Amino acid sequence: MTEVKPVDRTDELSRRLVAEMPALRAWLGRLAGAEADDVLQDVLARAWRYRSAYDASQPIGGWLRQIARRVWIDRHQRANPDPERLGDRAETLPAPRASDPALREDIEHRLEKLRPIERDILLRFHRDGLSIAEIAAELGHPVGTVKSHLHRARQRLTGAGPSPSPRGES
Amino acid sequence: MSTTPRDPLIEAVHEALDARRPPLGDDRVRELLAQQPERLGEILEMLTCLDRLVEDPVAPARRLRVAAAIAAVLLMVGLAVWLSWDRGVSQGERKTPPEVSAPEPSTDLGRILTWKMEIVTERPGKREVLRRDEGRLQREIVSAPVRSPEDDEGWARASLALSTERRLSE
Repeated sequence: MTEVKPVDRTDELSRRLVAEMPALRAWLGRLAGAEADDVLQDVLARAWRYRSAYDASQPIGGWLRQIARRVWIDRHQRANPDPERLGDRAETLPAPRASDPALREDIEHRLEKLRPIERDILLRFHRDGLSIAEIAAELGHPVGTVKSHLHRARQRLTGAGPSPSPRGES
Repeated sequence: MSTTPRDPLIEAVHEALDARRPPLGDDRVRELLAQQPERLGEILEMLTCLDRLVEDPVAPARRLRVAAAIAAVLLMVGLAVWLSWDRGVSQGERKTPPEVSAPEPSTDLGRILTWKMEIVTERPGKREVLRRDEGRLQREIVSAPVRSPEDDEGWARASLALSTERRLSE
């Protein structure tokens, strides 16, 4: 078994991933057609999740394409669960699922930290599939207010971007 | 109200998400990421977290809704059974003849002409009203600024009102 040489810093991995994105996107265009952007996102998310498995001494393109093939298979398996059509599994990285108790607990813990209005809007949009206009109509808030709550909820949920406004603001 | 510093990358990600486009397939996001590749991890964490949200089968807010709905249905079934039985008795439909006994103080509540039940469930930011009368079930969800004590996000209140119109025995 070959030894995996991890990247020293996540910044370096980020740099390599971003640099590879145009080529990966073009390759996915041929593999996945109209779904290329969705697959690209899934591939990068999975690569990031399993970044410790990346051997930094190897070009990142091959590793990403391996993940991409697995992502593509998983997407089709979900859409059409027929094992005969899938062939060999070249990639062994598992797909993270929310049914994993630890992941579910993590997301529930993050949701609990949101303000009720933020959580409500976030779930209506991302889980229930309502549009911002529909949420605004249901809640009787202006579209801009719903957007603000939604954006703040995403950032509070994940800690991304600049610090959100204080709790008292509505 | 404090202002959140502008972050073009996060704003572009929000914009793509709001439009239900995969952010990493968005030209503007990719362009900004190329300038700040070290932020890819932050964006991927956000997207992964939101994906988990979509896949999470039972989020806390939904659990509360399910529990409230089950409680409301159980209450309605119980009351409907009780009202049917009560009405049957008062209309003389009981199969076995009443036992003849010595006169005693009357406990007859008369015959039910109409009945109506209303269950109100309140949670932060939402008020749900279930109305049930003879042959009709009406559900109304009102998004109202329901305030919970000390902004407690787990707070919920339910109330039940039952009214009947009866004809007393002559």
